[in-house]
Amino acid sequence: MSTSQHKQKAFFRRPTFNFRLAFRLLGMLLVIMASSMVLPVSVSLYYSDGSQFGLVAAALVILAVGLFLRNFLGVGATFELHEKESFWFTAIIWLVIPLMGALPYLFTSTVTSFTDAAFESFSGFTTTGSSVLTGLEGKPQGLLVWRSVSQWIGGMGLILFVVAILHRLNEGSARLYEAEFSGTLQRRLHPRMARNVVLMWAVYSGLTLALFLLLYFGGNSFVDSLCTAMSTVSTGGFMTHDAGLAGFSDFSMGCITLFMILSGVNLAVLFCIFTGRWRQVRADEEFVRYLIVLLVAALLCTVSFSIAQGHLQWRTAAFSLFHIASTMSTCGFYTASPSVWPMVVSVVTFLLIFLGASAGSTGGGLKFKRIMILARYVRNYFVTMIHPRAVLSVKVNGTVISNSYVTRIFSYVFLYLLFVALGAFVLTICGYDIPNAFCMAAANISNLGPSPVINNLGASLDYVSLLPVAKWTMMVLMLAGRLEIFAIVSIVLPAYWRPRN
Amino acid sequence: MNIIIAGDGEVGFYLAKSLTLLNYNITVVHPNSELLGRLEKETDLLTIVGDSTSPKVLEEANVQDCDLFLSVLHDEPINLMTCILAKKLKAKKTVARITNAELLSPKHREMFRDLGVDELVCPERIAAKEITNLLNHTVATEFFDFSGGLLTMYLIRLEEESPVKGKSVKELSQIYSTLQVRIVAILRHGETIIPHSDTVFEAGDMAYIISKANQMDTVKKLAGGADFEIKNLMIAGGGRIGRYAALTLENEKRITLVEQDRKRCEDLSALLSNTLIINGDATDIELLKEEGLTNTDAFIAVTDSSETNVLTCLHARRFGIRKTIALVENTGFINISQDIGIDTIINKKLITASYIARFIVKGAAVSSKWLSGTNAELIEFVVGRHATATRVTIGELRLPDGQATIGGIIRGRETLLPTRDTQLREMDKVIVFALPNAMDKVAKLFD
Amino acid sequence: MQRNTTVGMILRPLGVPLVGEGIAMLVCLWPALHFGDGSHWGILSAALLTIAVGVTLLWTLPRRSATAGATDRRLSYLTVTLVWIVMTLFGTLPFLLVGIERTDPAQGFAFSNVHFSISLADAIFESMSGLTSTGATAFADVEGLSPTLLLWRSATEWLGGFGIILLVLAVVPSLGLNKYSLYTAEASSADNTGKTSTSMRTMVQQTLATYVSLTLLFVVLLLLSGMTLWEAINLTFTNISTGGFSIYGDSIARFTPAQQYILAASMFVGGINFALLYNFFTLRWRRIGRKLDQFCFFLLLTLVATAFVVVALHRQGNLPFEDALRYGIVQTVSVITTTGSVVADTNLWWTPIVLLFLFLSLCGGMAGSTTGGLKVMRVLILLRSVRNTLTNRLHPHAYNPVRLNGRPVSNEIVTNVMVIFIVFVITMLVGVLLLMLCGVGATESLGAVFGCITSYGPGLGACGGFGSYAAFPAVAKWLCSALMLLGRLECLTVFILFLPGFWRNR
Repeated sequence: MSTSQHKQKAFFRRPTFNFRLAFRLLGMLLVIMASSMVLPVSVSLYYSDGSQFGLVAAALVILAVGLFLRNFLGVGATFELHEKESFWFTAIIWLVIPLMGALPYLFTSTVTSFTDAAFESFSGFTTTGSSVLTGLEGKPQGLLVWRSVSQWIGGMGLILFVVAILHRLNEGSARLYEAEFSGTLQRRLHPRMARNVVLMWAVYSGLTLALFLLLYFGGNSFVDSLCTAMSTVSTGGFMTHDAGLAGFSDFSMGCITLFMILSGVNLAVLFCIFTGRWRQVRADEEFVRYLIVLLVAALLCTVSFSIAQGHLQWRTAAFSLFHIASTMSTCGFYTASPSVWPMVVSVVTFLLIFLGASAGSTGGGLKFKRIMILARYVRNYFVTMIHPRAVLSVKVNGTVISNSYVTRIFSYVFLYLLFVALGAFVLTICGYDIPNAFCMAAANISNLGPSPVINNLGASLDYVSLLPVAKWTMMVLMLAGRLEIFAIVSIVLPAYWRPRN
Repeated sequence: MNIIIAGDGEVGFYLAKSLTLLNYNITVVHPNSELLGRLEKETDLLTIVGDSTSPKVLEEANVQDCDLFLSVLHDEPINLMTCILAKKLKAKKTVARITNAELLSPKHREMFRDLGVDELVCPERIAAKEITNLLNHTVATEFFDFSGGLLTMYLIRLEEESPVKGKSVKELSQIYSTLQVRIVAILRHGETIIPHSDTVFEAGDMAYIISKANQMDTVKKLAGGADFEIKNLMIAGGGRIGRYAALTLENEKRITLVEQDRKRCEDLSALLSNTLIINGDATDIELLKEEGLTNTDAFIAVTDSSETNVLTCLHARRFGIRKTIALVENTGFINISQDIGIDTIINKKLITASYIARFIVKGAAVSSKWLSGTNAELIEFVVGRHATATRVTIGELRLPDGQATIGGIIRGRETLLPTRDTQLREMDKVIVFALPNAMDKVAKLFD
Repeated sequence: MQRNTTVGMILRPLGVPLVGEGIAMLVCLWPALHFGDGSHWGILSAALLTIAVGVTLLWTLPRRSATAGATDRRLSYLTVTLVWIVMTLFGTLPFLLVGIERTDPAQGFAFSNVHFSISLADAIFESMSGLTSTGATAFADVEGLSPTLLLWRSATEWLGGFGIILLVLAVVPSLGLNKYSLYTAEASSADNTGKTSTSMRTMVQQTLATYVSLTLLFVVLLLLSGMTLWEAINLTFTNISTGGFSIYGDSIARFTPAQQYILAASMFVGGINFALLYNFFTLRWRRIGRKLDQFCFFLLLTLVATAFVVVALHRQGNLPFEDALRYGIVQTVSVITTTGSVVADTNLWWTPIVLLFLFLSLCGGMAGSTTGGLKVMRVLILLRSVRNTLTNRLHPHAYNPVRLNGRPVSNEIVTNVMVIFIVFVITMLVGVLLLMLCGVGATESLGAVFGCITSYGPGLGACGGFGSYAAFPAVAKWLCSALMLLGRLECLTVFILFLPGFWRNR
């Protein structure tokens, strides 16, 4: 063929989407999800709580669909991923999996509508923790376990499942990783992506197991320990009782608080802590500042509580620490709160919701590192206002952050706020007043879920009575927050669709 | 002593010429025959045209008989390579010039010694250190520590207010016994004078002073000038010297660094954390003024151009900046520069030469310093067991008059300033100020 | 600051603005004499005091020679902020002095027998609100104010609308400070559509001329539509400057539809870049050329928002179409130009509309106009920049700069936009939370912050709609005044004064 003919062909050639690979990956994930239902099902069978049939049925359906996709539609897939596709993959996976994950709720008749089931499922997988279920004590144990399992899986990232298992992806794995963890400057633990992911899972599982054992041998029931451990390490926040963590012993609360703090820390730093590389831990600027902010905020709350109550108790301090840790790590646990709730605490908490956890952890929010980088960028700008010819750079942990990276981070923050605004807008259309709408939108995009402070800001946390439209909007927000927005928004852009190879 | 120098232009040829004056046997190796040709015509040494990393060339230069091999080219890897080869080919001692100061850490030095590179010299780093020292001792124009600071040499200018002005050495000797400092030499109108009893000090003299530790105040008083603390610093030129200086000083002082090359500025901003880096031309006075030139305490010009350095320092001087330091590569300019009011001139050649000189001092010398503006040297000797010096007092020692003088004595951890009756002992370290032709005789006395 | 910066150099630039302000106060003598309510002593003394101080500064302090050393950027920043603060302080004089009352009316005037009927917090609030052309009022009963004060309020808005700095530059050409650095300090956003001529002075004079002529035009139009002279002058002053004060408690609700539309037009015009207006009205259309990106975006935004509001009012609010149309157009224009004139009680409107208004006010009008907020140009650059970032993720090697009017926008401007956005958001967050700490409710705090920092004026709840900030605690009023200042000076100019490096003698 002559050159011009080649060119013509190129012009008309559309980017082919690797459907087969998508099906295959989806299928694999569904199979894995089905096998993860073994745990809830066993619990259910053990306790004979009435949900066995529903859960088993759901598991079988998921398994069937998964196998179908993987072995039938996805057969012969080429393991090549292009840039655009990786975003699509992430989006598809994050849509289909939670939707399928709604089946257990439906099949066990714990919710009345598909919207509710989807809401709970999304809230689970995105580790948000907003719940439409009431009367949790009466719900089947198995289902409660499934809720927490969905958070546990979602916390680590569904993509990582894929990457860990699919060695053949090579470059594709890096792209998927990037799509999942976009822009958090996550330091790799190991040169090879697959190994890297396995290490991350190791840390993650290790933490979960540790907390589970602590809680179980600390006197809590099996289901409580299991669910709480999973919800904590994934920074999700699903609880097994309506009153939250109110009935837990002090020891349990202490453990939970500690693990909440840990869960909000960058996985790479956690890895260094557990392997004893203290120098690297100390050198991590984000970690140090994260701890400082945590302690200062807890101190502030303790002081204001004490002033409001008129006396100082260690219990107040413990509660403050618990509350702040829960907010910063975006877990969203609550427990019996003091009767008097000073404005200062609400103020501090609201700010921390936006701040979020450390980058590279399972937490949500804007992420500490991003705020640090932007803060330094703004400070540099002030210097250039006085010295226009000065050359300054933004440095974190000694490495320079390029201008384009800062711009990306900024765009992320902007989109985040835009989503909050849009979410609030939709909520006002559903009839909520403005402060309520903002709080709810903010809490969901930060994957926080419920939080007692919002009650005091004048908002209510009653997700049950939200209109369906509002619920779906919240789901979009949850997803946007979890996927760090870019994946979703990129697909919407027209530039994405232009046939430029 | 046989010395081979692999070097080009500046440092290399300067070393060659200076060492020849001291009657060593010098061979210079260089690929450029034209340059070498000129050198050979002007100086009494042997030149070999060739690449210093070629064993054949090295053998041609008689590396096996070489006592000291200096590789001072501009290229760090070549210097290292050359020294490794030379050592393998039986040179006794090798010295390589480097540009990456990271290699100077003890761990790395050890590593290179094993490889065959005995000594590493980084002129830029040394220059930066000198700058640091000068900034901490603002009254001095030059500065050198002996034995880790037990005795220090200062070069100061005797100002109008100096108490020694108009007095002779005899008059001062009454005060001398209580003073902890000694004036060992004077630079007057380009001439080096070793003061004898009737020499009268004049204002404008540059005096070399040896002092015991912590005598800054006395030195200041002698100079008649005031010492002042430097808080704000402006560095023109982001090359290696500027970079090292900023790196060392940025945590103690407020530094503004002006550099013309944008890319260099970015690299600097990645390296430095506490320095304000300005992308601009140092000769742009408006820019400097905007960035606070008038508030600066010290101005350091270390750009790649000596002329720029001198000019900018002069400008700075006009704005009342009291300490100016300039990097001037042309050794001929050094005297004039000091006359027109730049406090200190830094010259990479002198620095390197000075540093290297310690490896070649004869006999029992421990360290030495080549002084700028004069041919004299300041050498630290260790007194040998059977040295002539141990048998007589200093007064009877018969140092070549007007050509050498003893500045100070370090005995163990103690320091002594010599009087006529001081008796030297074995293992004493003696600091001698000597002109070149007296060097041999002086060395013999301590051997 | 440089070593030889003296207090004199800092204070002298205040001279001319103060004199100008004093003269404006003198003008307010007219209603005092015309309506004869006894306030003439108050306003006269205020005017004389202000002029006296201004003249003293000008006479006693030496003029800094134009050749004296390098430009000192820091001095410019300090001067800008200081001018606004000092003008505000002196602007409280009419309120305080006119509002002087005898505690015991039976006795005569004596120091022991007077008190100020208007508190300092209120006076500062109102004065700042005027000069920053915000339009938030601390008076629950506006109509109970003396007409002198009413005119003074309107006058401060008219003055503030132009930016006192620019006024000074037109009247007193040489300050001894580099004019450009002062201008860039005052209006930190560069706008390429702005420069109609190369000389700063000419540009300023042209802007002033445009402003004054448009004011006259609208006064005439309003007179023709049936307003009294008193109403016409006051309302034009406050609307063309996109300020929003009114002489009536219900803002502009009581005017006829035609009058409201004219007012809306004046607001809209006030929201347009004045250089653009100048070129347009003097028929130099070629100069405008294709530099219409910002204007088109502004127009588009206004139209889309208006459409939404009109439809929403008609459907949700069940208003008859004509009313919905009028309310929609007038209020939306008022919001997007951050004027703050209120045509109906917006508190009763459907919540999404109110929320939309909050965001619109944050957006603001065109750069180089009298509006506040972020300015449409920045929002446009922001959106384009974000979009570019997203597409860059797909095509990492594409060269794709942000463009405005077809030409790439420089990095400095994009940086400026990003930084200002961040600083605004943080300031607003902190502002809301501080207000709540002062005891203001959540809704009011939110509304107040948006209203003050964007220089819109009305907030939500008690301080929204036809309400006022009267019920706020005094601390909250001071805080709101600070927010107004920050918003008008685009935060950075003020915050930089708090940087330790600013004051160090480098």
